[in-house]
Amino acid sequence: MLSADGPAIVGIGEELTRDAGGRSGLELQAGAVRAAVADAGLSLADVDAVYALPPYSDAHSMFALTLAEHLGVRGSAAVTVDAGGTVSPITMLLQAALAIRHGAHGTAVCVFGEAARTGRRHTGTGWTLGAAMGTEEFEEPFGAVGFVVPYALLASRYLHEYGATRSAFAAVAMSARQHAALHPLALMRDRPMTAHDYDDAPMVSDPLCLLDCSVIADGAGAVVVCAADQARDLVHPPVTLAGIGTSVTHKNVNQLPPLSALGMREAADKAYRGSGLTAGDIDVALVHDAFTVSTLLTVEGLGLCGAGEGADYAREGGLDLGGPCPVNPHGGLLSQGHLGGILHLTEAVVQLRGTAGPRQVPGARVAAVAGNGAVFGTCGVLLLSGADR
Amino acid sequence: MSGTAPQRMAGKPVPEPSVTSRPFWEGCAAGELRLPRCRACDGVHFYPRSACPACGGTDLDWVRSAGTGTVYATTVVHRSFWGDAWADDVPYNVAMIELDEGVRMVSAVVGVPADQVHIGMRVGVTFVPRGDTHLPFFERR
Repeated sequence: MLSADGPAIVGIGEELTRDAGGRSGLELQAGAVRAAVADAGLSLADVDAVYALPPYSDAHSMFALTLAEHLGVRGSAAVTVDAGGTVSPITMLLQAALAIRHGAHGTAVCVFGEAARTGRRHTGTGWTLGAAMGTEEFEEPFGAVGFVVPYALLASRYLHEYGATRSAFAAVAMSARQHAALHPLALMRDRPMTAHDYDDAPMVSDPLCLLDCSVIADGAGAVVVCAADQARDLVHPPVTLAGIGTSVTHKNVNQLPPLSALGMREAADKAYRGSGLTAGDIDVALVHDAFTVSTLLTVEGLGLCGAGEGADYAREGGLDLGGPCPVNPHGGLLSQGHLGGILHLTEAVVQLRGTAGPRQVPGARVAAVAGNGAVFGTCGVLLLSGADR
Repeated sequence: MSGTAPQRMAGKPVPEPSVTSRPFWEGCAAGELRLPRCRACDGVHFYPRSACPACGGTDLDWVRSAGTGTVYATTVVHRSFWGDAWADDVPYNVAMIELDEGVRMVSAVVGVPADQVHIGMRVGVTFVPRGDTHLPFFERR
């Protein structure tokens, strides 16, 4: 399905800020698309398809079509994708690559962004949604409101099933924060974190404290995907899609299965089977980390360590730059800023280009991007391969 | 459509039953925890929906749950999210309860301090009125 001579990522655009100055999610996404197209050495006239996830805080019908019109794109397809959380960027890329491969359209952009920090409905605490989740009737009356509470329930299972302690969460949070210091756009770049800071942080939804939770951000990210024969002639060495695997198990937290039945391992196994790669081939991993427990479950699902071993793996520096497979060298959702995982995808491309500067993983050739949506109800693993440098 | 009342942010949310879920909430008002049962495979499930998630069967009826179970997951919530409806309750408990019939539901354990709730605790249902409805919470057994 995917191969070294298949469609490739040839351009990226990133913007991340605490305050987008009143610009809408639509405008932020348009900006990231323009940046990505320019990065590829192309123009908007070369874009034939737009794949976009609508801003969560601002429910929007036919969003990708609206974005295409906003950009002045006239082409073949405008597809709104809402696969779930950080699986959406992975799914956009898969759909675009398949369509290019089968001749359904030419060069495509995949984009997400929003003014989640400044543009959301203000109802006090938490990142609000513009659309229903379908969980309202059987969760909200009992106080299961927002996104932290469901993840806290999952985190309580993690500590219980694996006999782990919150020190594992602290190790994840501190690793992400150290990495963020090396990324010029990271919102927490100048905010170092010690174990003492972690222990002193206010509890939000036990066992998750403030520093277990990701940083809400304004911004957007986009990638340009084109056919292999065009990709070779562009500005940057192409980054090819080596393998993709996805899984679906549930949606609502009230359907949460035991940790052993979460779908991340299944998604990873599919990606490995399709690509001929293994966990040992991954040089750098960009994993969903809306909450610290997600990082542990995802590195376990990828097979970077065994099930339940993520706690020791994190405490022993397994996530850190300098380790065998650095995880989230850009700081992740936890310390760079939460833009739905699209910046995990762009960071993977930067790492495979070898242009990540002080946070560069030396010699990175294979990157894994792993996401989930709806408290691991859907999972996705994307394996990307860089060109010889 | 089911959900919670649109004015939910003004007070604590209350369920807005659908045709499919109404027997569940009527059961709560009558002091019964009812679970949808599939006549084809004899399995129970939760939450109520139009077909059995195990076998796809659409011939469903209701059975009365014993109302007893075990805490499967638990959290102590320290903030009132998406408004101030829970501001007077923090810190409060939210828990997943695994009923003895094998299904899990999101609820909370009441009557004990939130931080005393632990995974594995035995609990039984108790119905707490809110607005025009009764909500199935749980107490330590």
